[in-house]
Order: sequence, then C-alpha cells, then structure tokens
Amino acid sequence: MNSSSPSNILLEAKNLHLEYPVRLYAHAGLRDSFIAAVKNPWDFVMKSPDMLPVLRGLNLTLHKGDRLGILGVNGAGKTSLCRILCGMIKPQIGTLTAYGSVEAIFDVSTGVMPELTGRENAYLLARLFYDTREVPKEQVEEALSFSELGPFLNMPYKTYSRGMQARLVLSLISAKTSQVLILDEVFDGADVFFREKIAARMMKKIENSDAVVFVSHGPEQMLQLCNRVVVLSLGEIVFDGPPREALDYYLKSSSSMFGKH
Amino acid sequence: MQISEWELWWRQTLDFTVASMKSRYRKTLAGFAWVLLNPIIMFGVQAVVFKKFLRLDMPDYYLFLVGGLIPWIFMTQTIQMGTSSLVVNAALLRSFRVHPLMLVGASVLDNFVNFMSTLIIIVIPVVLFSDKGFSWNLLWTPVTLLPLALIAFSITMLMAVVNVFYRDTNFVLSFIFSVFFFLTPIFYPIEFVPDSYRWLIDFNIFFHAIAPFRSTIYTTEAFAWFPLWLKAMGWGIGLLLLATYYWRKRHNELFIAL
Repeated sequence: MNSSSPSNILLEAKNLHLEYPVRLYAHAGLRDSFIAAVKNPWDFVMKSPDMLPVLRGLNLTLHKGDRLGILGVNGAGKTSLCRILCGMIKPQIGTLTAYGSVEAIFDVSTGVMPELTGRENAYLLARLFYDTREVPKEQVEEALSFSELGPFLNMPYKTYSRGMQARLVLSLISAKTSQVLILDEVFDGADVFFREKIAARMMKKIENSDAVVFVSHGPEQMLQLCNRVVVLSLGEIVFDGPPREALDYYLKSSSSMFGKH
Repeated sequence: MQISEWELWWRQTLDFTVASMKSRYRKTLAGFAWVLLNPIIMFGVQAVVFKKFLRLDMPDYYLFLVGGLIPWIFMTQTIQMGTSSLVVNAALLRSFRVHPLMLVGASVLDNFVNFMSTLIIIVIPVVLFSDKGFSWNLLWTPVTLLPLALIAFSITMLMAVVNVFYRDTNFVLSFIFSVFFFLTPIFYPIEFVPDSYRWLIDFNIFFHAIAPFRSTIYTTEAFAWFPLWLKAMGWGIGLLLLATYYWRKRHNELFIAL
C-alpha cells in the first residue's frame, strides 16, 4: 500500500464502507450453531445475516502536519476507522492509500506477557513497535527511566496498576518518532501527574511525527493537541474543521441528539 | 530499514515464543519436566498395555508405537494450545498492530521445541535399543518434520480463527481427538484395518501427517517414506490454503468478536 506521495498527503481514504454481521456481537458456540442448523437447516444455509453498518462511504485525507482529532459518540465508528487507517482491517468497499509508515496504539494498559517483568515487557513491546530489525536499546532504556517506575520495572507486569501499565507503554511509544501515529483513547489510563508529564513528551513526539490521529473523550486534550478535528456520526464525517468549532458542533449535535429522548 | 510482512510475522513469532517459554518455565521449572514426563508416561503405559496385555503381535512394537505416538501428542497439544491463542491474547491484539497469526506461529513453535526434546529423550533411545538399530532412512527424519509441522500449523490456524467466533471449539476438538486416537493407526498398524474400512484412513489427516515420520523411523526399505511425504505435503498445502482463505474471509470480523 505504500507508494510515493503526490504532494504532502500521507493517508488517503476514499469511500470507506464497513459493515459487520449483527450476530458477531453475541458470542455463540459451535453447539448453538449445530442446534440452529438442525432446527432450521434452510434458514441456516440460505438466510443472509443481518448487517450493522459501521462506516458508510467515508472520505478522509491526512496531510503532513495534521494533528487530527476524531470526535463521536460510542459506536460512531471511531475505532473501526482507526483500525482501517493503520491497516489492521480492510474496508469492504473503498480504498486506503498510505504514503508512509503508520503506527497505532489502541490501549496502553496491555502487556505482552503479564508474568514477565515490566522491563521484559518493555523490550518485547519495543520489538513489536519497531518495524526495524534492531531495537535501539538506548531509546528503550531512556523510556524506562522516563516512566519513573524504578524498582517496579523488575516486578511482574501483572502486579502493576492500570496507571503504571499506561506509564510504561506511553513512555515507550513516545520514545520513538513515526510518520503517522494513531492514538485511540490512550491517555485515559495514566494517572494525573504522569498525564501532564507524558503530555509534554507526547507533544514533542507529535511535533516530530508527520501526522497524528487522535481519539479522545477529553475536549481539553483535543483543543491542546489537535489542529483539525472531524466529527463522526453513524459512520460518516459530519464536520471537518478547526478544533474549537468542531467541539462546539459536536456538543451541540450530541446534546440535541440526547435531548430527543 | 523496513522489513516485509513475512519477516515481521516470523520475528514476532520468535519473540513471542521465547517470551512465553520464559514466562511459563519461570513460574515453575517443573513445568518443563512435566512437558517431557507426559509423553514418557503415555508411551510407557501404552507400550505395556498393547504389547503385554493385548499382545499386539508385530516386530519392534515399541519403535512402531513411539513413531506414531510422539508426533500425535505433538499435533494434538499444538492444536489445543494454539486454538485458544487468539482469544487468550485478545487484549494484545486489540491494543497494538501485531500480526495476529504470530500467536499461532508461536504456539506451534513452542510445542515443536517440546517435541524435539521428547524426540531426543524418548525416540532416539528407543531407536537405538530396537532390534532394527540404525537405518539410513533415519537420516531423512528431519525432512518428515516439515509436513508434520505444516499440517499442525494449518489446522491450528484454522481452529484459532474458528475459536474466535465459536468459543467452544476446543471442547469439541478434545472430543474429536479422543475419537481419532482410536480411528488413527497410532498404536496399531494400518495392515490391521480391513479393506472395507480403509477409506476411513485415507481421509484421516492425522494419519497422513504422522505416516512419513514413522516410516523413516520404523521402515528400513529405502525411500518408503517418500510417497507418504508427498501425500502429506499435499494435504498440508491444501489445508494451509483453506486456513488462509478462512483467515482472509473473517480477518476483519476478528476485532469485533474478540
């Protein structure tokens, strides 16, 4: 998917459509399927599943220098859009063209091996984050000291609180520069003090990245970090513009939406 | 320097395998002893029951049994461990862009290391102490590990994805394994199966996976393993294509169902 950029475009998504079968949301077993097949074989084979549309013809272009925020109520398709942008999933219709490397983080309180120590997990994560053959040891060590976890680094990761886990992962992510960086609600786990400290460091990383896509529920962070915000509603972009206006639009539209109830 | 998707998958598989072995055996060193003890006990019990109690009459029975039982244990353990790998690591898959199939690769590799250890501890001594002794066919044993690992990987990949959508897959699999243990010529030779029942064996993927390995260990006839190897590779490639098709088809839905 990587190709040379026509101008200063980093990511170009055209006419993205994505839908999922509704039954995915209810976990069934082989036994249930067997019973359904025996009960009503015709329906089981022939009936097409009910589909839930997630994205409906969405277009988005990410330029160099964009710090794009994505706002939207739960279920608006924010995470699915991010997963498409980083190549984790493919849209059923539409195309995505990436003119550079894309990295994405969706949760910061996840370790690779909870039984292993924080330090061991950090090196493992670094190996997952870095697309290159060698993981730069100095960068990982620098991130570890930045995390201020000290003696905890030699304790099993599973003994960490959510805040500590977030510290470790966020310190690691921010140690590295990337062309396009996608952060899906990653600040929500870190404790308050560290949030300020890490925010400063993330700002530096964001400045060094060519573009950042940012999903958050915190309006302040949106205003602080973004220079462009899109509002997503029912799988479509309904607003694309400066952060302040986008936030006003989002608050107004979501309050009118909830006002109907 | 950027690396290809394949290389990324392989590197993540290696990293994850090393980490999971480290994590498991740190908790209990006896864990590794158990991994070896399990096939030793299985082999010992079956050797006594089938040779001494049931008096299966065939030359070098222990050699025959070890050649079928050890790869069978490798296959079933790999598939059962790997089937849950995507679901167990759901948080990791949802959080970072890692190659989901590296979890499947790591399950296979992890069990393959155990298999190699068992090979050294059980299979080699049984081969050396058998009446047949050394045969040139033994030198081809490493080649027969390829279709065995390929089939184990393909089934594991398929089942791991199925398990994301149908969470009782492993439960069903353990039932299937207990049935197939008797349907597969592991502790009895295929010659014992009447012609009218041979079709059961022809479509038994486990038999095809094990047959070339056992042939290099048990048969002294030169290159008797080769046609079996070709057949096993055919099954392996076919299964891999099927698993890949299913993976591509359901890959998008993975993150919703996980």
